[in-house]
Parts: sequence; C-alpha cells; structure tokens
Amino acid sequence: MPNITFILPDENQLTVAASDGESLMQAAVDNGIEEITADCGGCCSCATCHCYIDDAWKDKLEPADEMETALLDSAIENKQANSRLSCQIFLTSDLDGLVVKIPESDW
Amino acid sequence: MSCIIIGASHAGVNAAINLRNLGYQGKITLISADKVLPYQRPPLSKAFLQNTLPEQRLWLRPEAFYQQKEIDLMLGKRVISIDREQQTVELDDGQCLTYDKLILATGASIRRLSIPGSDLIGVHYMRDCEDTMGLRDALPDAKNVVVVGGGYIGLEVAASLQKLGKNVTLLLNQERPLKHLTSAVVSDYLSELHKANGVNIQPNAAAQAIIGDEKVTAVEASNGECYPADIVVAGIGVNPEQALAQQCGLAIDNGIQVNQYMQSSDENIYAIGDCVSFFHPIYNQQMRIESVQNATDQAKTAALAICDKLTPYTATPWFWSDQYDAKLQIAGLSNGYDEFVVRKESENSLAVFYFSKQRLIAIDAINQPKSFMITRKYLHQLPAVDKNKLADNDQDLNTLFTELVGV
Repeated sequence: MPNITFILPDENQLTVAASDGESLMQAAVDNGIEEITADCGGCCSCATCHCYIDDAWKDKLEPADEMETALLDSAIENKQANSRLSCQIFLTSDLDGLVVKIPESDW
Repeated sequence: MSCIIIGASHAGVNAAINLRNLGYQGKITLISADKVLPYQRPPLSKAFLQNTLPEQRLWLRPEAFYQQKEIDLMLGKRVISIDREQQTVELDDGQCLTYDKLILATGASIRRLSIPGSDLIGVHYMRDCEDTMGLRDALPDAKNVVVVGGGYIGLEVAASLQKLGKNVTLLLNQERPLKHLTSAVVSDYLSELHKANGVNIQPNAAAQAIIGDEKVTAVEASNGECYPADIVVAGIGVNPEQALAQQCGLAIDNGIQVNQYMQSSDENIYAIGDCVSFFHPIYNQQMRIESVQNATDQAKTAALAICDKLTPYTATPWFWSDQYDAKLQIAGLSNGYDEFVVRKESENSLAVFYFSKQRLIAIDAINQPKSFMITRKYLHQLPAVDKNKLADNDQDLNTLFTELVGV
C-alpha cells in the first residue's frame, strides 16, 4: 500500500494510501481530487489527468510511451519536464512516498 | 434545498459531484436502477469484456466517496413517475421523494432485434455491466460469434471477441462500417484492420433471421448467406430514455428538450447526457449526442445553472474508440462535410480533416493523438485553414494552429 502525497493547486497537501497496481489517476479520483477529471477513464485518450511528478521521483517511474508523450506535447499548456498523465503511472510499493503536484485543470 | 438526480451513469454521477464542488448545500439524492455502484461504460465492450479490467476499476467512484460528499446514493431503485405540481418523484418501492431541483440523467436504452429468432438463448446486447458479464459467462462454450451492427459497439465487440480467440463474423447492413459517422477513408482502414485480425466482415449483409431451436445456431443474412453462431451480439443503436419526461408532459424532440443551460420546459427540471436534445450554438442546431464527453460536460452545465452560475453549453464534442492496437480519436462533428483532406504520418497513422464551406469542422485521427489533441483544442477558434498544410507532414500543426488563432 504505497502512500502518495498530492499537492493541490491551493498548496494544500493530501496523503492517501493507494492500492498496489492501481493508477495514480485512480488514486486521485477516488480521493476526491476533482482537478483530475480523467474523462476517458484511463485509456490514454484525453489528457485530462495531467500532473507534475516531484523531481526526486520522476526518474523512478517508467518513462512515458509514445501515445502519452504525444498527448502531453499537444494538449498541455504548462508542460514541464516532469509532466505526466497520471492514468499511465501504476503504483507499486516502490513508489511509497511519491509526491505529485496537481495543476489547475486545463479543461 | 434538495436536488434529485435520476440515473447514475457518467452524467448523473458527475452532476452530483459538480454540485458539491460548486458548494451546493442541499441534500443530493442520486437514484440508480442498477444494483451495483455507478460504473464507466466505455470499457464494457473493451477491457471489461476482455476480462483485463477488474470490476472495481469500472466504478466511477468508490463507495466511501459518496458518503464523504454527502451524496445519498439509492441503488436498485426505479423512478416510476414525476409529479411536477407537487415536485415529487415516486419510486417503484412506493417511496415518494420531494425535490426543489430535479436532474434527468436517464440515458438511453438499447434497441433490440425484431427479426425471427431474436428471443433465442444466445442473443446478447451491450449496454449495462450485467450485459457484459452475461456475455462473458457465455463465452467459454462458444466458438462462433456473429456480431450484428457496424457502429462503434459492433466494431469494439468484434475486436474484443476476436482477441479472445473466437471466430467472429461482423454483419453490416451497409457497405461499410460507421457509414453515417465517418468518411470511407476511416471506414476502409477499420475494415482492413478487422480483416487483418481475422474477423469475417460482411458488408451489405443485414441480419434477417436467427436460426436455432432453443439456442442460437446460425444467422441468415440478406446476402443469402447463413453464418454459424453459438452467440449473437447485436449493437444496433440506442433510443433516448425519455418515458418519465414524456409522462409528466415535458417537451420532447428526439430526447428531452433542453435549453443551453440544460433546463427542460419545466424550470425546476434539468436533463443531461444521452437522453437530451439540446441546442448547440456552434453548430446552430438541435442535436442529441451519445458520448462520455457530452454527459460529463452537460453535467457541469446543469450543476452551474442550479448554483446560479449560468454558463451556456458550448463544448466541442469528442469521442474515442480502441480496436486492437488502433486508437481512434474524433473531435467535432463531421456530418454535413463537403470536403476532406488526409494527413498520413505513417502506414498506421492517419488523420482525416473535414470541412464544410471551407471551415474545418472535425477530425478523425487514427493513431495520431497529436493531431487530434491540437485540433480538439482550437477547432472552433480557427479561421480558414490551408488544407494543403494540414496534409503536409512537415508542417507542425501546433505551430500552424497557434499562429492562426494568435496565441
């Protein structure tokens, strides 16, 4: 059960216990983080689950694939080097302590 | 202050969430005829059918979420009537609930086959979670499957079942799949994709009779052929679920008629999602759209209106479909196009841009997410676009569109 800390747009923090195997998007949505709208339900079609991964963690994740990169490149106003689509990040105990910044919704 | 929402799929659930996020203080009651927690529908014909998505991943929100947000979720209950004078709804268990505002998110109901043999064992449909589970349970004993219908559901079910190792025949009642929804370029790509994956796709072959004693054994088609079938899955469209609205005298026009704020002909009743006929100012016409985007965006519009933050609905429609390794993404509505141009970035990556009177109105992208995304973003802000530039792979679309829009 990895613990994940979300830093919300108003700078408030929320730490949640996520389940192994679920996506970071799912953990956010299930805990009421409404900036992550995840319209397509997690099939990498819509880019409405954009987040920033804390720099200390960004190299510990599987890199974004071609589809995710394409969506990030074309859809996100404030794309940074640590931008990811949270539906494509699957949580394991190795990610216990992950810190994620949630932007204001782009949509 | 109280709001009752009838229907707890994408539209209904999002309406409840939006009301709370906007600070709505009243009681929110979300009524669902389904017995299970509200769930996503798109995976029902894809990952959930293929058994690669566990049931709890289907849920739109976990159970605790509704409690936290003080959303009173009533599962397995059906509303049987609405009394607009008294502002009450009556449930099938005899309960009577009072509302200040009512949101109808009743969705759509499946069209059923009416050809001979339609009531045989082995005929399946695809709308609810239970439909998919029923089909999944029947699969181990089935070798041959006939899918009836060349819309999104038919294509997705055919792809899923082919992946699961079945012999799939897909019967179309027209010469190509998605005929009313897209150009021949996209239809032909999808036809070839299904053929390459082993689906026996039969154009101009409307199902005419289902053969069998108690159980399905074959399907007769209008091309004179008879196709063996242990299972038949029909995806032949849906009808807006408007019976409650009709019964209480709301205006109806291929769906419950609403204004740009999703308000029906009764000021205290809103309607959203698949069941709604609304006026889209960008297209300047009355329309009904069956999609997740439409459901979630209209939910927001209705919630804003109920919270006295009137915001007209102007969202750009978008859709997606996954079949095998192909991702189809659509933005805008292409019906009524008079010209199109194709951008082919590779053998498996193409985008079709549709124009009406020189104006770009829609894109169908297959494995070309960048083109889809950037078009979706700027579609309705763009002045005239040079078609040759869209077709030119060396032209970066982001640069082109942002220059045109001036951002």
